[in-house]
Amino acid sequence: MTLEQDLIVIGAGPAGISAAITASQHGLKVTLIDEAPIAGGQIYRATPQEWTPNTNGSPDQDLDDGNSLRDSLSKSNITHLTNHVVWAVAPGFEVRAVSDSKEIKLTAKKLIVCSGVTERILPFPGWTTPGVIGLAASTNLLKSQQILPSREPVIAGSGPLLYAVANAIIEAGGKPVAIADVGSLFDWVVSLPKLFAAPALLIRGLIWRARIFKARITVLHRHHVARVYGDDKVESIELMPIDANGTPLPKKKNIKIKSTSLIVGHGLIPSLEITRLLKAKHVFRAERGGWIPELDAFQRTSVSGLYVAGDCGGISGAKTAALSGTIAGLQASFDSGMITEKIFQDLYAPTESKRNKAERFGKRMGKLMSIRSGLLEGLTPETIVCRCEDITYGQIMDAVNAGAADCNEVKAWTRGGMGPCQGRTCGETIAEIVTRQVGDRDKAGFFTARVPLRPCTIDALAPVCSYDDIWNSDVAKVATAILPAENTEYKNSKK
Amino acid sequence: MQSHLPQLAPLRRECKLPETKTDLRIRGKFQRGKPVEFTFDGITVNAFEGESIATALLAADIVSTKLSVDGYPRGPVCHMGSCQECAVRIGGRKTLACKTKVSQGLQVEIDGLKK
Repeated sequence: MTLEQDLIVIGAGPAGISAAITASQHGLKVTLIDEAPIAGGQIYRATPQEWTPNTNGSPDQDLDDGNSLRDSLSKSNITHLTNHVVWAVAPGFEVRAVSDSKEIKLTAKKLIVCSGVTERILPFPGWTTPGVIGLAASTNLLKSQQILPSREPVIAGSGPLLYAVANAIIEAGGKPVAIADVGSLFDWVVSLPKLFAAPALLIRGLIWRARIFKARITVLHRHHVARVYGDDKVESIELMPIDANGTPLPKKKNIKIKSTSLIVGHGLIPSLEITRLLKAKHVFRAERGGWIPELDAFQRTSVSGLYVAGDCGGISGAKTAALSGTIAGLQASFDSGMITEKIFQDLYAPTESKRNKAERFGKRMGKLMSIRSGLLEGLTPETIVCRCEDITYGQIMDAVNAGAADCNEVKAWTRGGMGPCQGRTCGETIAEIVTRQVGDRDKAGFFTARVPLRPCTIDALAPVCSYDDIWNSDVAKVATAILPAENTEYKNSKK
Repeated sequence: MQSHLPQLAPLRRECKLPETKTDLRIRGKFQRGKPVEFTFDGITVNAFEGESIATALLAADIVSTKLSVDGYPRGPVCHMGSCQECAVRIGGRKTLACKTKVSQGLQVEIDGLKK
């Protein structure tokens, strides 16, 4: 089935919804495509449709914000495809997605990518033990599935999510055993002036810290996970002191904590499979999350008709995402000739100043979550780096020492990053390991994006057909026509 | 659908159903869906409609849900369809436990072969 549109928006988070609504208001025929059953993205992820909210429940800011976005989406005349996983995107643009073993093909002249972020989890010995989960995973469990990841977890990593998760666990009746922050208290204090750009969010953060303090939870700054013990379940966690770059300080004592759960995350990285696949130009900006597509002030990429909005254009948070989505939608409408330059300018100017203000807060948060290369110093040769293919740090180092000079060479030599997750989990780690050898991330590059972007079943892509259909196809006719005479046996057998 | 896959070796594991006091589910904010029962690797797991398989397994204290290519135990990591570590098999077909909702009588099998 092929659907022709003016604009396709991929990802129904705050950026995607705002972009789709704006473009649709200006008369574009828009399809919004997303893999979740309900719109909202990760930040505003809704609880399942089967559930009903209790009226006496405590107020939830994210839920309210999400509901108002979903409300305006349902009032618009946007075609919203839920439960659709995009597995391929071709230039020009053709978007292919699967849902319930059925494939759908969409075409449009303009494409806005709002694919958001994935969490960066840097490996440490024992990180593959079941029971080690992501910080972002925990927010999902707490928010959308209303379940505690654990009652007494150890929480480790960097960025504001550490405290958001700890706070949510306390609120739900759990008590984290310890919080190990890669950053120091000083890192947070110097960020304060920039954080005043969003006072509401700053106050929220301070309330979290106060609640954690009140619950008497140990917060260890400048600590990273040294090792996780346990075979098919986490048994205990060893934390080690580190310096500002993340390098372990062997002279100081490690701390061993008994817990069956470790929640860990080292910041967010933009999901760029689609922009990479379309060969848009990318630049490396560590403080924005790593590789990001090169964008102008109007959210345009280097590829004509391709726009990027939200965190996948650089980490900056939900508020910036929504505003950048509005700008992308506006620009797409202008580029399609739906609005005049005057209207465009009138609408663009106020949104731009709001976005720039929101970005000040978001960028600072991005900086707190940026990668620290020393965090990989604690790896042992047996530590698995690529979880999908069970490729160890030792194997990757062997390839690098033998001359693999960029990420794709390591991938080809070791199979690291070639598994079903497409290198989303190990890509950052392998890039950092290669960087240590070649000097900078620009030289190390990134994994080339390949279809299928997400695993999908073959029967979804190839509809039911009989052998006669194949025989009667155009390809088969051409093939039989050029077959040499002595190979007519098969031809005759079909007559 | 008929499965043509080789019979998978069951993972040796002790499973305890959650007692009320250690239940990880957050009560109060939402009314969950109808209670359902499904099996994971032959073990009966209780869950509520709307929950993902990964959530229900977490609540039942089953953290090791698959075997990696080299046969190591693994469990869900990202809970949002990115890491692929929560892959399970339903009717022989690989499915993500974090993106699939539970339903009454669902038979979920472990993914991967023990070496």
